[in-house]
Amino acid sequence: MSQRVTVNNTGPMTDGVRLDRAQITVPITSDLDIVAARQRGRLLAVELGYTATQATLIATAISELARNIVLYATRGEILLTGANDGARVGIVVTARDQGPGIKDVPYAIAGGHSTSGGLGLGLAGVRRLMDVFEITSLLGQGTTVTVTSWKR
Amino acid sequence: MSDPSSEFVDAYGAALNDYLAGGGEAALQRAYELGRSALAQGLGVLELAAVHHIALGQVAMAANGNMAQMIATASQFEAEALSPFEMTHRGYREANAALEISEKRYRLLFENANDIVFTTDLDGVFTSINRAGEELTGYRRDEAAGINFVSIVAPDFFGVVREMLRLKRAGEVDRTQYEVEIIARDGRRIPLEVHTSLLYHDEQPAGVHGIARDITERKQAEQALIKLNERLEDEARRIAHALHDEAGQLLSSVHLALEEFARELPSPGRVRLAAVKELLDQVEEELRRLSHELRPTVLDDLGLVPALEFLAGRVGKRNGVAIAVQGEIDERLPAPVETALYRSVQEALTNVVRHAQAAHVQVTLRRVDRTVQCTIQDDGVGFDTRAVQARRGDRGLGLIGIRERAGALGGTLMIRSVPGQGTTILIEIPQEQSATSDSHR
Repeated sequence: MSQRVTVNNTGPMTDGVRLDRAQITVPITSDLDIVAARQRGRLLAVELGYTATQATLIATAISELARNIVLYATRGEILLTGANDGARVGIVVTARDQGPGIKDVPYAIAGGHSTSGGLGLGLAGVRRLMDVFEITSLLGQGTTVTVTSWKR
Repeated sequence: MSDPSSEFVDAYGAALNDYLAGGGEAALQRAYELGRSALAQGLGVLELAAVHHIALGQVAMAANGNMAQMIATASQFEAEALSPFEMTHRGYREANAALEISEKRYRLLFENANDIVFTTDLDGVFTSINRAGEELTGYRRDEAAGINFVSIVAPDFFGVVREMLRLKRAGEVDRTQYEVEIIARDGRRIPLEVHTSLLYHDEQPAGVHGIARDITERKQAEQALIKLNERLEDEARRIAHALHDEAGQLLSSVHLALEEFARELPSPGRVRLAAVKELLDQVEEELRRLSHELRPTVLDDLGLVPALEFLAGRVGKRNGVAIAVQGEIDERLPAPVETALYRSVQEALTNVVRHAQAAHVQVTLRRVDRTVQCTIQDDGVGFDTRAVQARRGDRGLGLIGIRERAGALGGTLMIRSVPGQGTTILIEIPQEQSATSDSHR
């Protein structure tokens, strides 16, 4: 019953995206951890030369993903990695939890999920902010969302 | 959009102060949450910007030191608060793009449809019409916009159209199907079959969506069928007359001649002649029967109900079936309707006698609303209606004949039959109540 959906907003992915070896792991169990994850994400973005605006959007995406973990799965983690596809520099954010999973993934990422869905926030909002969006959810076992934002 | 509450303004100001005092990411997260809650409260971007400027004004007054640095930092906070709006705006953009595609798809269907596709407001005034509609009516869409559907309908159909609109507006129905004739710009009358349904806006009826099909060809075919049936009936009437009157008179003359001849014969010859006369009587009876079956004079002279009673009597007696006729219509109906119903009952009774093994048949003729209804109900063995009609055997053909006769007059045929439980045939023909029988020949 695993559901996996990939949305690529920047056309087909170039072959050979290399992830940096350094990976930042932020455990998420409370609102305080959301702040920590945002901060690490923003710092990474600034280090890689992203504009302030883009860094803000990355922080926003992290907020939404981490919020979902706190709200629905109680605990989980956010992983942050720099990436490179030969032409561009990017940031890959992975949000992982062992929560209840999402019943209808296409519905959730289309923007029809929960109270935040109607306003286009939540997973739908994250999908629209990031260049690549990938989600795998297994009912009763958890959800993993991986998003990539390429540097402009 | 609504005005920001003072609590919100205060919370925003406090968070901004906190950030300027070195609150860091935690303060930015609060900015973000404030933006999110502004969105949920229905605040607009400009209102949130205004809240920011109020807060900024307050901190600027208290600030001493590097104003440029302070504004840059405050802007970071503002951007954070606005980012939830960015998310939803991208959502709207996406929804708009999807809407555009769906709109294009509808346009294509709308324009390329062979049927007229149109919309009107609740008064019947056109709000859109497609290419097929322009071509058929002769009115360009800019001309059609603003005119009422009723104004292109032939006057004899005003009532129908107004009634359909009234039913929809009153909420009694939300879709209708009817036939009207419109008058095109060049004066041609065009019969249309119109399907309409109500359009809703915010759950309130807001207009009417319609699809109309040119049924000129179907109407012509129906007319041709009516004409053909009339010609056949005329021919049958002529032959029936020739058999009954002319041949009958000749036979009477033969009778007279034979009687004279008999007087001159010796008695053994008279006996043999009597046998010939008996045969002649049978010929006469057979001619009468044939004549009646071809075209019963009682139908023309006395009308449908007496003709059906006569028919029922003959068929019943010949086949040992009890056929009762109940006629609740006193006035004469137009000749084509009487003929169609008579022939249909004749056909139905033939089916009953051949296949149904029924003991009783009830033929009922009555007026229901604006229709004349005729039912033929038997207590026979019944049949599988679908199989029989698909097979097109002689019973199937008989039913098709009934359906065609009814269809030519705008009527319908319904058959209900269950194996072992008899058969009911219902023929329904639209017929306005009329006081006279003018249209009868």
